[in-house]
Amino acid sequence: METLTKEFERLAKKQKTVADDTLAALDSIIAAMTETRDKLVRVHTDASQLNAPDAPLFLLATKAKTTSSQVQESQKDLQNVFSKFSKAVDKRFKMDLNAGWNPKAFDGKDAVLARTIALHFIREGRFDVADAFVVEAGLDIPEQLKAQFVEMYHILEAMRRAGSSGVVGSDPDLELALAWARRNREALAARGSSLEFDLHKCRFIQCLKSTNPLSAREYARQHFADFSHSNFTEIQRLMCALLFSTRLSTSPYADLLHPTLFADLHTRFVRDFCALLGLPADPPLLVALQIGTASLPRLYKMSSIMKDKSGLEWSQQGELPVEIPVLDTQLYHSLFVCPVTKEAWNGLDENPPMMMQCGHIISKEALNRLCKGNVQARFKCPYCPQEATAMQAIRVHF
Amino acid sequence: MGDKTKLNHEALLQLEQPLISVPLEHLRKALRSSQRLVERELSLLATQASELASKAAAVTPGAGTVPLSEHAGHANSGAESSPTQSSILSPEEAATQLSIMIERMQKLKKKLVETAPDSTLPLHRTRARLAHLDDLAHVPATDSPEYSRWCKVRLDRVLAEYLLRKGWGTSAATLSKVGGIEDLTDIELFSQVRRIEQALESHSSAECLAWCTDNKSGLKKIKSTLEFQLRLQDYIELIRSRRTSEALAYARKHLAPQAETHMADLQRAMAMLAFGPDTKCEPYKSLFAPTRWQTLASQFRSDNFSLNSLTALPLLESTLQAGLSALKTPMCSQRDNRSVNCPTCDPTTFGDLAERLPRSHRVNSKLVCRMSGEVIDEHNLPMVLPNGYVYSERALRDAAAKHDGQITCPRTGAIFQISQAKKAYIT
Repeated sequence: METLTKEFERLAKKQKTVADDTLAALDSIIAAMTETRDKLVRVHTDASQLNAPDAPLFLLATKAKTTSSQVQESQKDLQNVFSKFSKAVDKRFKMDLNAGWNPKAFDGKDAVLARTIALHFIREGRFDVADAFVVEAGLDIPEQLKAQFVEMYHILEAMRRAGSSGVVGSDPDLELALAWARRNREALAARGSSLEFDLHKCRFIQCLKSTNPLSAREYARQHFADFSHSNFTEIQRLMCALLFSTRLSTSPYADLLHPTLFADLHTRFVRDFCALLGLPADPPLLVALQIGTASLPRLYKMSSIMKDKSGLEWSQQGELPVEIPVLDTQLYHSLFVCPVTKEAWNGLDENPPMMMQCGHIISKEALNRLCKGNVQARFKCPYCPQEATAMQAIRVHF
Repeated sequence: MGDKTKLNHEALLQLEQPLISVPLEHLRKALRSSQRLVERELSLLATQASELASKAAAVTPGAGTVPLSEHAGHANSGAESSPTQSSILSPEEAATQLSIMIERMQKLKKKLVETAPDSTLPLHRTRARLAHLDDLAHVPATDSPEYSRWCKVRLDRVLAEYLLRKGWGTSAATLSKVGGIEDLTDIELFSQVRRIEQALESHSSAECLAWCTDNKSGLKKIKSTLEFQLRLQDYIELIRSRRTSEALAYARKHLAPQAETHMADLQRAMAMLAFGPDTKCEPYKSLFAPTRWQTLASQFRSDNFSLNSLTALPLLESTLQAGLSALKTPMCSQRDNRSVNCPTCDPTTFGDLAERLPRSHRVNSKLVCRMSGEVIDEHNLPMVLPNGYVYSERALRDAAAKHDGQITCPRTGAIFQISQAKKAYIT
């Protein structure tokens, strides 16, 4: 990158100088021509003066020639600098980006892809783009879905304001989120989400930080009762913080002032909001693209190695030839690979994972192999000294 | 862990070739055409100036021959030819000539000023794009916030490119404005592509031929046959409208010079004169087919893309294919095993797109807790309930803490005590 940037800066500088110089040269030759012309007209020149070696026209001709060659020279220099940069670019980018993927995989799926993109714009709160796109691509996206995300971003915007101002006790900006959480209290509880309490907690901390810390007590009295069962320890801790309201930042409760408290709340709110709509917590197009971006180089490399060899299977039954590293947060399914047969379980009942008495899990096929078809036969677990029988093994569900 | 989140900067940069090469080609063209223009005009000026000098000097024949040849020879060899009577200039005439030359130079200057953005814009964009790529070089790991920020910009870019390629220019423009990626998108390039394609689809070759002239050297480098094919099409259209003699003249002028490289095509073209537009005889039938215009449009598109090092298919599609393959598991299509957070589990969007793609490849087991969504590993061990359902230790403990040691299996509804959960071992 550095070479590229350096070559580029040279080129940009050169382009500027050459462009300026060219214009300056033009100005000067125009001035010279104008001057010569004026001389010819103004001063009565007799014919003999015209052929003197220092006659204005001769001087002009010489100047035109030098100007022309100078400008052309500098233009040529510019071309050289340009071709250096262009070579540096060629050297920097060598991968063949047209290999390694299946041009037919998305055939006939334009409409699905367009719909997916439209949903992404809505999901990301880019309603202007979404509106333009839905019209331009002639899509049919339910208004209701959009309305839901409009609400989500409306609440988020208010939360953001609350996070930035954060001091005023009567700040209504968290109220929107709270109202939503209250409306969806049961659904949130079913998810095991404590969003509503956490919002109250933030409001409580806002009061604590305000000029009137005692308002926090009032707030707690009004709102914490509903949560005395589910968040008892936390409430105790918050009430204790009241004692230190004058010097919270040096108290054992300093963590309550941490700025990530608000940021986390945003993420949790989006997560819960989407979950109640039955949608993923992270924008799926972003997830797919992020993983795709990271895995493309690997796939390009594989395709260049495996070119014209069987193996790179781009078919429905196929599997990628290499393992693509995925972040833990981007793993969504349990994948069991039998340590004996090395076969990945496909989620179906034909060859399920089985746990032996010792707690080790292997595939049913491996189990059958180990007991040689006799469910009562005792055999040693391949991974620990304990003995097991196939009959005692139980099927597990991941 | 460290290895998994490692970012292969070098390889990722390789993916971004089109980002740099589009403005590069743009700049190459602009620099070359301004160089040509300046060269032509200034050479002409030098010639004219020296001719003017020698003509004016010749007013008194004989007197100034020596200094004249000295000077004129210095300036321009062409001026040495002895001036004829008609080329002799009075000072007034010389002044008029000068005025014409001045005007021409002023025009040149104006033109240079007008076309300056042709070079400064691609330079400006290249700078912005190099900076964008440089941002990537400073991203520490794939799980860092910097990386997800960079990926968001890349997503916008890739989406904008996709919209542009599909001809949804308004959406693309809105997106690049909202996303602040105007310098990272090539709206003009794609709108030009669109314009020329539409011209071809409505059976007009002029726009595309003009483009070919603009990109002559580039097209030669990639051995494009586009121009010949366009000329051939014009010729075919002349035959179709029964203007045989015009067709012949056209062929002589535009097709014959390329005979060396296109002999077979040329012979076939000439044979078309014998068959009418209604012929059933191949290959003439397909040469007369109106669908040939569509073929030309797609040839133009692909030649233009390879000229600019743009990939044949949109970046969005290749990246999505890779990403969806890496996400796809056999479980995604099984009702009981679907995950709400998994993109490929949604049968109406990504699941459908992933239909013909291969699925991910795993060498080792990796379990995800169905209660908490967390990964089950050595820090968060797998626990089996008596009914054979596996959850992570942390999720079970959290649930038990809330309900006095009681655990409800979310998939079966069965209720157990935490003490009944047993450690499992995944190797």
